[in-house]
Amino acid sequence: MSILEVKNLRKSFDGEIVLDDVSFTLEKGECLVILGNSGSGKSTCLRCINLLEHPDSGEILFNDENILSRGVNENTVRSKINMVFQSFNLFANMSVLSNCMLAQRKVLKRSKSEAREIALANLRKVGLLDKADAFPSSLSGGQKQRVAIARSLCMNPEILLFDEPTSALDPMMVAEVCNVMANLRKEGVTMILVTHQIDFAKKIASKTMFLYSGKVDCLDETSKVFSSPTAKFAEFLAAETK
Amino acid sequence: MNLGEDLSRLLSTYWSQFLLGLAGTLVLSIVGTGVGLFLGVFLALGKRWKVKDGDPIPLRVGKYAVRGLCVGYSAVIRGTPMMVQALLFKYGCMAMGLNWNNVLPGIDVFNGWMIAGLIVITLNTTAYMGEVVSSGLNGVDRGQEEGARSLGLSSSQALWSVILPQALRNAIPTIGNEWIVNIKDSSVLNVIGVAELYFAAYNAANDSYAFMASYLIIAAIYLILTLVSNLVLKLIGIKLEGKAIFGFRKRRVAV
Repeated sequence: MSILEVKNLRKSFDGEIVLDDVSFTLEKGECLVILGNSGSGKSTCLRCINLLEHPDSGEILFNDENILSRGVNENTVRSKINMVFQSFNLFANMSVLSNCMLAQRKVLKRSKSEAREIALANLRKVGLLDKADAFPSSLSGGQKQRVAIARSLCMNPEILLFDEPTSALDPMMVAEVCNVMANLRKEGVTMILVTHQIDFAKKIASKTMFLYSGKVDCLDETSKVFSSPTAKFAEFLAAETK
Repeated sequence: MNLGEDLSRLLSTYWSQFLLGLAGTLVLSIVGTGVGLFLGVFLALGKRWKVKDGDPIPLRVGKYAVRGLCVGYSAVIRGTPMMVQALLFKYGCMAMGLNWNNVLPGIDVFNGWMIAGLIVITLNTTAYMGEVVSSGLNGVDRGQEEGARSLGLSSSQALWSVILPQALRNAIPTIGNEWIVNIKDSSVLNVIGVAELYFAAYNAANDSYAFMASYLIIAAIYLILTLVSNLVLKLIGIKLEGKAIFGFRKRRVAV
C-alpha cells in the first residue's frame, strides 16, 4: 500500500490550467523530488496535497483514504501531512519554542510539558536549541527554515512537503538547510521536495518527477530520469545548470 | 476683574467639580476605548466573515446577515456625529420610559447620564475600532495563516493564536490615536448631561460668570491629558518595538 497516491489531479486558476492530469504514488520512506520551471505547477501540486488549494478534479489517497472527499477533517490531514514553505511562515508573535509548541498543544492536545520536551528535542535535532527563546525576527534565513522544519517535525508528520525551502536563502544557508533535510532522509522520513537545487535533488531523491506546464513529463527513479532525460528535461537541466 | 483673579477664584471654589469632570473624562475615554476595542474586534471579524463553497444554506444566510449588520452599523455610526447619536440615544431611552437617573442609583457617582454616556462613546468607538482592527488584520502576511493551517490548526485557532495578536500589535498606534480622540470628543456628551470635563467648566462658568478662565482651565487640562497619553503611547511603542507582542510570555530555556 502506498502512503500517498495522487490520481489525475487537475487544477486551474481563472481558466488557466496549472495542473493537468498529474498522477504519482509515494511509498513510505521515499523521497520524491518535483522539478520544473517556474509556473509549471510544482508548488500548486504540493499545496493541493496539503489542502491549501482544492483541485478541480482528481483524487488524493492518503493511506487509502481520499482526502478530497467530503466529510474528511482537513485539519487532521494537515497535521499528518505538513508543509515547509519557501517564506518560512514562522509565527512572528511567538518565540521559537512557542512556534514549535502551538500546534502540538492545539491540534494534538499534548500537555505543556510534553510539547515542550518534544519541541526542544527537535530544535536540538536542527541545531537551534540555543535559539529557543529567540523571536523569528532575530534569526537568519537558514535558521528560520530550520525552525520551520523543527516545527513540522514536532507534529510527527507521516509526510513532509518542502516547497522550495532553500530558494529564499543565500548559498551558505542553503547548505545548512540541505544538511538537515539529508539527515531526515537518512532517518527514513517520507518527503516530497520541490526545489531548484538540482545537485541536491539528485543526491536525496529516490524518485524524480519533472513537470512541464502542468503535465508530468517524466516520472521515474532518480538515476533513470537523469541518465536518460526526455528532451524537455534535458533542456530544463541545461538551463538550470548554466 | 482680571483673568488671573478669575483663575484663582475658580480653582479655589470649583476645584472639586473640575476634578470630578476630569475623572469623568478619563473614565469615558478609557472605558470607551477599551470596551470599544474589544467589541471592535468582533465587528471586524463579522465584516470579513466569508461564505465558503460547502456552507449549508442556513449558515450562508446567517453569515450574510451578520456581515450586512456589521457593515451597516459601521456605516451609520461613522457617518453621523457622536453628539447627534447621544441625543438620539437619550430621547430614544426617554421615549421608551427609561430615565437613566433612576438606573443604578448610588453606583453612578457622576450622575445618571454617565452610564448613558459610556454606552454612547463605547458604541461609537466600536465602529472606528472595527476599521482599525480590519486594517490591522489586512496587514498580517497571508503566510502566517497558511503556516498555521498547514500544521493542522483550524481557521479560528489560527486567528486567535497567530493572526489577531499580530493585527492588534500593528494597530497599537491607531488604537492609541482613538484614545486621544476620545479624550477630546467625550466633551460632546455634555449635551445629554454627562458630567465630564466640559460639563464641569460650563457649570462653573455660568455660576461664576468667568467664562474665559473656565474654558482656559479645561483647555490646559485637555492638553496635559493628551500630552501625557501621547507620552505613554510612545513608551509602549518603544517597549514593543521589534520583539514582545500581546500574549507572549518570556520563557527561559536551560541549554
